[in-house]
Amino acid sequence: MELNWSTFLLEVLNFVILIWILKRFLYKPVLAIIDRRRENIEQQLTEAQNQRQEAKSLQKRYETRLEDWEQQRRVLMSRLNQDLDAEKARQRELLANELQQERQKAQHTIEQQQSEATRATEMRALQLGARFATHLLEAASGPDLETRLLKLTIESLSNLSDQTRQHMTSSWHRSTPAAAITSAYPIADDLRRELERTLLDTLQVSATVSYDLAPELIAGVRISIGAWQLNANVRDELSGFAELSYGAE
Amino acid sequence: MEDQGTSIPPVFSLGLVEVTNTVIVTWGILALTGVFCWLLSTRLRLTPSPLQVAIEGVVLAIEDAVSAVAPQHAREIMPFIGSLWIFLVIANLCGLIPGVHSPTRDLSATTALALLVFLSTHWFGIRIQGLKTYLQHYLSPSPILLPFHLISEITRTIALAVRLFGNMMSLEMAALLVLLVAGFLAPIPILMLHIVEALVQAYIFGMLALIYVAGSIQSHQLRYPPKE
Repeated sequence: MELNWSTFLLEVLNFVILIWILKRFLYKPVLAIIDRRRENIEQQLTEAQNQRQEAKSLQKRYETRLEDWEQQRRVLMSRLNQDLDAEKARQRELLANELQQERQKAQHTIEQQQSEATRATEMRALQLGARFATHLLEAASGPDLETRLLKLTIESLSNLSDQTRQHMTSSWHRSTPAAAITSAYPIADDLRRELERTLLDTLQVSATVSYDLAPELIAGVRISIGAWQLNANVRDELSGFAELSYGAE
Repeated sequence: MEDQGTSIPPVFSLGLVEVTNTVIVTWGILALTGVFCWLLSTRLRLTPSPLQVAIEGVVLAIEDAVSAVAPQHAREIMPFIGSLWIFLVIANLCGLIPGVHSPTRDLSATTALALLVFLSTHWFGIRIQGLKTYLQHYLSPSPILLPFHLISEITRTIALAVRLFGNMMSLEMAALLVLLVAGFLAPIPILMLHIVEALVQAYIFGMLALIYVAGSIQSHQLRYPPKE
């Protein structure tokens, strides 16, 4: 346990050398590399901070831009909605007008169809009536009725207006017409003469008169002179009645 | 047994200088540490290897410990305190190697370290505070306490040397006695204790040295803090 001065001094020297070695090869380089790493980390942190600030700035700028875009979008959407509403109202009005026109057209068509149906029904009724009357008069007619109709014809010819008479005779100037008288029953001689005399006096012509029988006339006569024809019989009257009634509509 | 335990005979002599086993082991530690640190210094990278991470961790741990006690002058006193810790850990653990004696079981070595602590305490105190300011703390709070300050300086240095020497020498002696009495594998638990004790004694010695140096630096600053 004694103190060895040589060892003591050498240990002092050794430890001083150790301090130098460690300071030179351990502390300085290790602390330097740690400081460099810290500086790098600080630099990276600063750069990251700057980038973060820049990113925040960009984010703020883009958010502002987005808000502007959003505002513009809202304005444009509002304008578009207004335009759409106006167009919708216009189209609706146009459609309503078209519908009204179509409705009126359909109403007119329906009315026309109803009118045509009514007319057809009436026509049919008149035809039925005429047919019924024809059947009835076929059964009920006879020489008496024909005589009365013949007299009525003579009276009608006597009472023709001048205008009608001129119209009838204007087509016969060039040639003498042949008169054909068709009757349902044979006409008595006195009536034939009276009829011929009335006919020639009325028309102021001289024509050859021929007679013919046609039972389908039921009663009465049919007088044909050239293109002109006088129907004074039941059948033609009934047909004329039906056609006249239809034409009167 | 006395020769085996406490007496350190010289291995060879260079004139008046006797070179003991303690000095040779210390040289070995110096050589190994120097080569290792030199190799390490050439391989330091910004992206560290696992070994570099471990070494940086050790250095940062030392710096943090010093900064915790003397935050304003950590970089100045860290090499001395760090070297004490590193040397003492290696020197204390050398006793575990068969045939190698720990340098710290030699009172001459521990006294040399304690003397260096004693000198460095005054060196850092005078260097940082100035001679006049540093010497004033021996007179505070009252000049009457000057003898007690002087006695304290001497006794704590002696205590520093003897504490480390006593602990390490007793550990090796205990291991030797157990080995002699109980056989070949019996001292293993004692060797486990040796590891713990070696680390603890290194820490205590270095921490006390740090406290002494920090006390000499900060004695004036604590009493008269700088005006900001």
